Amino acid sequence: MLPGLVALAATVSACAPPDVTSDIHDPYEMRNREVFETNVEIDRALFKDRSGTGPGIPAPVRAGLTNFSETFALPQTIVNDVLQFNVEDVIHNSFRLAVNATLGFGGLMDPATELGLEKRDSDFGETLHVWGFDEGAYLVLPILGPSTERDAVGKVVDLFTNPLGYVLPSPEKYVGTATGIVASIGARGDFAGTVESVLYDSADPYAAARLLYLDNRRFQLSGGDSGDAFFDPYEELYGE
Amino acid sequence: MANDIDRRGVLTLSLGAILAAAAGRPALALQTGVAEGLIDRLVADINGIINSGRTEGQMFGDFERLLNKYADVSLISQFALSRRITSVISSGELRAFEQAFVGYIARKYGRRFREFIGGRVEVNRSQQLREDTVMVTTTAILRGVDPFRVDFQVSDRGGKPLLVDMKVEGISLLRSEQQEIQAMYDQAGRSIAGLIARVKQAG
Repeated sequence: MLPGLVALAATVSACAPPDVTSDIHDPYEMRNREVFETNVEIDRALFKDRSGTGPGIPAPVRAGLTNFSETFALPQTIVNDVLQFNVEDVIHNSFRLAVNATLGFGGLMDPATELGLEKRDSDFGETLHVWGFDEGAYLVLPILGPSTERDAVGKVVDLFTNPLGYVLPSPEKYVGTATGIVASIGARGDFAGTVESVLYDSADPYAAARLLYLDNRRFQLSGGDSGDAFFDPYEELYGE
Repeated sequence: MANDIDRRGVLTLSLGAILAAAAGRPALALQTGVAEGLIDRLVADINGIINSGRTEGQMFGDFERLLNKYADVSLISQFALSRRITSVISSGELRAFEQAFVGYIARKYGRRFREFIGGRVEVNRSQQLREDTVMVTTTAILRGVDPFRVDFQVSDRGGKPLLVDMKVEGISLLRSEQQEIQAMYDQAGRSIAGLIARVKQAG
């Protein structure tokens, strides 16, 4: 299965221009804007109040469901850690899985985090990045929201390695699923409320969402190296 | 004895002169400790405002003063305008925009600071990225939210150490606001007066 997937990724990335690290590559903007508008309409219809809590799920239940689906996604994360030759995270996430599946009552609770084994996400989009594939063009996917060519391929592959990840998504993914910002920005259910309101109050929500997604995704993929995304505003403004 | 002291004194003086000449200006590199101190004071002042029990309107005024004190507002507002607009703006309009922009930022982010009640910001480390620029990496620990990363970019290029950017999980305030102001400018029919009016309303 893997060679086929790699070929698929290669096909997509082959049509993509070179990696743009500080700039935005959005050749499909017209089409993307249409998809984005539809996503926003779906979002408005589902979550009119945008309270950030989702449709009436009590907080503890929500937390339990989130933990469960996160534990459930761990084998997939570990597979990606292996594919990225990230030995440290393979060990980290394997212990995390073992602890949460046992002490955490099959994943309903997250005692691993308290033991210092905090959540360390990964996905096939990141694996492709590690393997040297370019980001490609910016894409807005129906329902799923902001993505890139590389990440879209990653999502398809992740669908195969963890089909239940989509049947049982984290409840916070329901909140603003349509704009996809919540699902795409580090799955921070509560933090997402902030992101969402910034998004909705923005002069150009499409462009704001694009920038938020790309900045955040590139930051994640850099491993959180603050020097990586560093730019000197003085130079950009007053430089030659 | 006296000679020794004199010689040492002369030596120290000339070394200082050479260093100053080499740096091209009297100030030396921005120290990481200085940048961290700035962020510590900023966070303490924000907490002071949040816990002051004043009304939201009063707090917005406080945040505005805070921005003027800790951030290079002139750089940030000109960056938001980008060269596209700074190349056509008059100095009077620039002053008016700067004033409106600081108010807008204070309102927009001031509303969010309510989420900081009972929270704290821990400085993890700081990194010298250039002679005049330090990135202070912190973790914001707020109630009911996963801890998240905030990077503060401090520079003394403007004459003294000031905040020039803040990145929340990699999302840059500078870049976001530039995007925002550019969109407002286009929607105002590329009129600077229209943009300023819009910024005064926004946030």
